[in-house]
Amino acid sequence: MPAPRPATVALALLAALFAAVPAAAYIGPGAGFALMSSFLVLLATVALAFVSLLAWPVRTLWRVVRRKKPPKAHVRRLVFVGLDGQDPRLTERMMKEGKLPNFQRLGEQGSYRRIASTYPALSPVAWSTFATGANPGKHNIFDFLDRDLRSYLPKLSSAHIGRVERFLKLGKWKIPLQKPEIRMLRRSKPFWTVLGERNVWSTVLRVPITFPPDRFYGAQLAAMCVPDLVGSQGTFLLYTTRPATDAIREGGLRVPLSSNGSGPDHFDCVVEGPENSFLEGDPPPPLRAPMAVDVDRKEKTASVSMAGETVELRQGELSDWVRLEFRAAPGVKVHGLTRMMLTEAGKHTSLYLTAIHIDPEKPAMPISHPSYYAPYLAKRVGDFATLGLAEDTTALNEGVTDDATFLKQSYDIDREREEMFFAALERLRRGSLTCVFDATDRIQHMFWRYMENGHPAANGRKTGKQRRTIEEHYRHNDALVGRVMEKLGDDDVLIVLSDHGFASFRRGVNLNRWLLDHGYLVLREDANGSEEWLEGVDWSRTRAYALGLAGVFLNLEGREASGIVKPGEEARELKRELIETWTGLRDEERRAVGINAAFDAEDLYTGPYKGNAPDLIVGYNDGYRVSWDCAVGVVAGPVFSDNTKAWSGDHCVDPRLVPGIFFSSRPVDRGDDLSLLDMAPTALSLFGIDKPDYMEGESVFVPAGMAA
Amino acid sequence: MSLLNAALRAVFDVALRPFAALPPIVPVAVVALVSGIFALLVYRWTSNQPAIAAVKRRLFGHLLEVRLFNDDLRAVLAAQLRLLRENLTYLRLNLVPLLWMIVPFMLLIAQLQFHYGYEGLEVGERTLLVVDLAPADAGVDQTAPRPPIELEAPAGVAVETAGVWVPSLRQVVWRLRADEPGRHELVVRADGGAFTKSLFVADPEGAAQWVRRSPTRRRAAILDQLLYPAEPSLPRGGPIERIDVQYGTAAISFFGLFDVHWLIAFLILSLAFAFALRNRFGVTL
Repeated sequence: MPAPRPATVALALLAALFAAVPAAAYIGPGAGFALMSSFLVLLATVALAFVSLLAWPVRTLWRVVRRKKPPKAHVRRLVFVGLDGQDPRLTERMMKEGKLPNFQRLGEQGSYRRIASTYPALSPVAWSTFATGANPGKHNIFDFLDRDLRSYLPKLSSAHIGRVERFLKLGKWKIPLQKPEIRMLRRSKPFWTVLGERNVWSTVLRVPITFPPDRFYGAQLAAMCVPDLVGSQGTFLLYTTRPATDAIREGGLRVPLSSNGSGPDHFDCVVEGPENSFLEGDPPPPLRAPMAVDVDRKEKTASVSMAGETVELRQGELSDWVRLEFRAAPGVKVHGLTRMMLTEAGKHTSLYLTAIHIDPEKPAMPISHPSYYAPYLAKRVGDFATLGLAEDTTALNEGVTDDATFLKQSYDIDREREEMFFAALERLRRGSLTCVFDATDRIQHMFWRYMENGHPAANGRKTGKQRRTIEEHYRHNDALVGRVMEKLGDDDVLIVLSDHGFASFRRGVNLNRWLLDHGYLVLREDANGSEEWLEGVDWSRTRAYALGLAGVFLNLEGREASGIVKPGEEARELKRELIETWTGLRDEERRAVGINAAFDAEDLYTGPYKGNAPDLIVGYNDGYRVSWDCAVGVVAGPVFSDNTKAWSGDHCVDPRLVPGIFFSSRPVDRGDDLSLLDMAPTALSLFGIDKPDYMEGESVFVPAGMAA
Repeated sequence: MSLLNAALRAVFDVALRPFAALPPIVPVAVVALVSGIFALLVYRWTSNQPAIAAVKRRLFGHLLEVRLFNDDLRAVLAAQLRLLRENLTYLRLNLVPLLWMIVPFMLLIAQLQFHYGYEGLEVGERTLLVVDLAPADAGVDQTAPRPPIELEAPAGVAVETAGVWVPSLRQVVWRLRADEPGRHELVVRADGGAFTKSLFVADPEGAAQWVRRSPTRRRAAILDQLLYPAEPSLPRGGPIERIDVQYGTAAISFFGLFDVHWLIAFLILSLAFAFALRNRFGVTL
């Protein structure tokens, strides 16, 4: 006879005791909690079952009345797997070499094509076109950044985050009487909204430009442009005893670390969070979370204590997610997540913290639809990155972290995404699922330098193992595609695509410097051009300026606050002049063409928002991109310069050079070139829905063929 | 066990004496706080905290899933099944700390029950004293004569009736009247031995209202010793099995809001304290 299990013995003992003395059945708060929690969950389960059963007919009826009749779908499930930035040239070469068997199989079973990206070939623009089936003139996303027409300062192009204006003052506290306005600036309905209007469920995971999330019949987790807890697009923190040298320009903060007299190995410091809007001030003081760091220099370890929790760190190893809690007011806390790494523990101590992500379990901002979808995912798959650009490219660019740390971070985020994706796929019985995986883009940005000989950013570094990093990630994607294919049936359709390909970024082009040299842009007398965000520019004498990653704006009268170029003929002439000059612009130092072509936005876009577009889109040649200086509005420096940063590959070039990939599990019924514009109409067509008028593309499948 | 009970009686008498004149909710709250902290520590040390945290996450995940897919009846029912399964897992994970807490909390609750579980007799109130004799070797005999058993009551307690013999139950029953407040010792004489039983009569004017009072004194069986520790056990093999005095069940005022049995108040307060302090002690419940 097998020995009874401890649980069985315990149950028997408990039953005996309870039976003997009913009054003593309560055996303490721990047990009380267990029983009460279980009871409450059981109660909630039964109540939910009851309510669900009762409400189901009513809800079904309501859906039918409120929304249009469900269409006659040609598929059960449509799955879009977005591999941001997967390049067709690399994919085709590796398929040829037999390194991507699942891509190969998918292409043979259905179709493989190259797919045209957008102008410019940037993720926010391209994925917005993917979602809406419309060109940027209709969806209003032209770049990561737009400019404030009054101040010429940059602002986020995809979302507006307002401030709270109405407060109730109570002593030192001011209680917000409204929520801050958070508004999506992307226009036109994405296909998942249209599907929802016809009762077709969609799950949308981390598709760029979904912050704040859309409201539709389905679930969505927001992605690119979700800020970190301090409101930036990702600000890492470096606590260090090293004396400050240069400022971190791209999105990091260096925080001095001093031992405060409690021994050389103990440091008390604080992590600053968002502004405390419950307190007076302009701006209000930041929320602060105390942090204590104890370093063991011999063992190269550190203990970091925050809010009663201690995290043990070993030099060079990235921690798991660490919870941060900021107390804003009595009973009000703001929650965040970060990962930490002890980067040195010798003569100097340095501690790296990733940007503070919004905690998905207790989000401080709307990062999902419905609001409990992010907490639901966190309960199902654990903590995960919520920041729009979650992989910390900046820290690697600045030399704060290293290749291995960046890769670990990227792979971990990819793994989190996979878990979410498969959890969503498992629950999807009918409808669409779209998930974008970012790691391909981020890894190519940072590791392209190892793929080609003589890249200025790889100068003096090993190129053996790192050279294979991108290929290894493509193989990883191949395995993912294989796993997805296994989960799908005959009545499901799988589309694997990328929004653009990739090119080398060896040389930066500072177009503002070029404009300065040629008299189109003029500096104030007290400025030398090294000021960021074009702050030294004399707008009363400037005719054109570059801002963002691909756009050039005219300083147009009646549009820009200090515009001097008259709309109409003068503007057209100026654009023509610049297009002519820039098309084929040569980098004489390298004896190569730096710019293939410049494009007039008038020719590229149609729709009500084309007036918000940059006036010119610059199509850089392979190997070239807007320079780091130009991207942050610095005018000084050479027009052409070597790119020595780890960010060494890019897609912000002539879009014709960087098409994306398109694989589908069913053969494409069209012979012409495919475009991202076609994806939304394809999704609608598969579910038997006619595309709305604003959608420009065409379905890549013929519905009758699908039905067969 | 007798030694342990004696020690615990002494400890609780001393510990609760400062509260004797206060409303009983005060000592109950204090003990609930201390036991809440004790339970948290035991829970933290003896439970599988990561597993409990994981199962709780899954539980809440499935709850949210029911809400998320509420248009899909099949998904809702599947989520509910998963909920039930996780609930059982959660209960299983709680068994280990539960076992560790059983004995200390039984001892604690037994002690508190005799301080706050019974009303004292009021002056002039009548009650029955019931003495259960040990079973006869020959079994139940309806015609058996009344054994030679006597009751001596101290001044302040009047014995109103002669002992009534109930042969089928082997019980002798006296009716008593409480004439004076205080703790009185009744003496039952049988088979040449003397066995005492305390009787507490409350003093409406007195300060110490909430002191230990025991409705029963029993033989030294292990479970009885565990559950009725307020008086020393009766000797094993002696002529008497138990002596009972009937007290009313006490209800205490829950901060003036309502009257409730002390155990309910203790349950609410200890849960509340444990819940409030769980993060401070780093415990996932």
